[in-house]
Amino acid sequence: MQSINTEEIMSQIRAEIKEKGLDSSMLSFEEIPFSPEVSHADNTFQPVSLRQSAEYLSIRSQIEPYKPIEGNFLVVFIKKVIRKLVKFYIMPIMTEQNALNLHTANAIQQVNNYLTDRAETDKIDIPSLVSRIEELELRQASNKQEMNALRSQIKALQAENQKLRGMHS
Amino acid sequence: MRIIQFLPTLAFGDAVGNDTIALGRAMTELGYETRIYAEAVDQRLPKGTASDLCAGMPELDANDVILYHMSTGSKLNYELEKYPCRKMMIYHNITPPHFFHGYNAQAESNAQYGLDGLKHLSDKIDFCFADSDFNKADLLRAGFTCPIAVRPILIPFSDYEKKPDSGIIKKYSDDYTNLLFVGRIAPNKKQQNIISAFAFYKKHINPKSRLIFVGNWGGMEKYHDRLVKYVQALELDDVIFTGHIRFPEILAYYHIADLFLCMSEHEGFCVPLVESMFFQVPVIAYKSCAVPWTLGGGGIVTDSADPAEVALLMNKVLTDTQLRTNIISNQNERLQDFQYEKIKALFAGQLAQFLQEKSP
Repeated sequence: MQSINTEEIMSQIRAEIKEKGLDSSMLSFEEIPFSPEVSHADNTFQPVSLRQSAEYLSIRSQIEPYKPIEGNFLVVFIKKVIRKLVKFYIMPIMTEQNALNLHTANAIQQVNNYLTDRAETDKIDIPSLVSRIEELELRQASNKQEMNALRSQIKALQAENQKLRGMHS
Repeated sequence: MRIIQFLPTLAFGDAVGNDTIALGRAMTELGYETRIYAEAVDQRLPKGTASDLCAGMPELDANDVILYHMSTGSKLNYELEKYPCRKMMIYHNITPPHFFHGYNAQAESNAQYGLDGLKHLSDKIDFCFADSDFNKADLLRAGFTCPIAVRPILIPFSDYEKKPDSGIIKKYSDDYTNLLFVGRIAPNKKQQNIISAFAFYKKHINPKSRLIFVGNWGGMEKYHDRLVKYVQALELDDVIFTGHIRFPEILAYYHIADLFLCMSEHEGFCVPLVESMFFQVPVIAYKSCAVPWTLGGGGIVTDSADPAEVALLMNKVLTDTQLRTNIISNQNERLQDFQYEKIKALFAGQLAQFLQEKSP
């Protein structure tokens, strides 16, 4: 392994930050509000819930008709015979059911896609305006933080400037 | 004797799913009779990869072995004891519930359910594998007294040699510096700290830079929304959330990455660190959980989450050619420890030893 002294690199970086008066204060993530709770219990439309159900359907839409048969030899044999006997009746139903499931899953996915597309095109609505206001307020808070950071950098530069002037005079 | 791997969900493309499938392949190569059972099997996986657990497990006897993949809350944690066979467990780690607080109540309670299940299993398992030293410590804290072997996740590197998506490579191969993080969008991964470091880097050091988050946010929509709002509030351009993407697209992002930045506060192993090593992308990572162990001297580990310090460290790695060369050289050396054949041999030895010591 090549020797890399991380401690030394970090202390050089800290010295550079101090020397240049760099200020890393910025808008904190903690100041960003949480989105409203997604509830599955009420009767309102929940896009997240639709998307989750669509994903579930796409994964589990196909049912496997052959389940492992357990038990002793005789039980397994009898069950296999029964399975063989009812196969002619069950299999067409299974095929139809799987086709129906597939189309249902596809239809739900299409609805989900449609709503996602529509949400993209219907840009001007109250929730988006509210979120825009929220965003601008956060930006304002962020700008304030940056202005404070710049002020402290100016102070550091002024102090450095005065020190240099003192050295020259 | 059969070795049955079983787990709640066999997902497509996640670390646990990949490990399960790779182990299944390795055990078959080693001559064991083995099969995967899962309650939910992702339909994107090739047919026959696993059997549906809901349809029932085969009848097991004392000669058989269950290899249980533990990574979440599930009723399986309480059903394992009913099988009259030898029991092994691979612990992939459970994210502490507090990380999900306020974002997803179901994920929070499931994580707690998982931790309770882990404690329940502590005296019911004969042998444990842990993906990392960190996971081993977790098992000891949960009260496990059985032998615990550290065995990194089995990564089939041949998958990474597949063709990357040319569209993405073309789109992002410009004069911008590409910073990358790969992993699902989740609060324990602290993507906000990556954003704040990037904000400083872009504003004060290199305006021609972009940040790419490769990862799905399913179930973590509220956290994703907050991250997007944070990016907007900081007036940051060039932050990309890809969402769930195809494997060739993931490969393409590694190809165009100049640096991999990980500020995660909870990882049981962190496969993307190894992937970055494979793609010769220098890594900077926050010192926590299993990350220092996985990096094992490769990459740079920092205990600072201060945006200015991390940004300047990024700049140092990106501009100091000698440092970059040394990091990649160390990463290449560490990568050797995760070679498929090496981990497979390690697993084979640990498995054989267990089977010998715990014969029925």
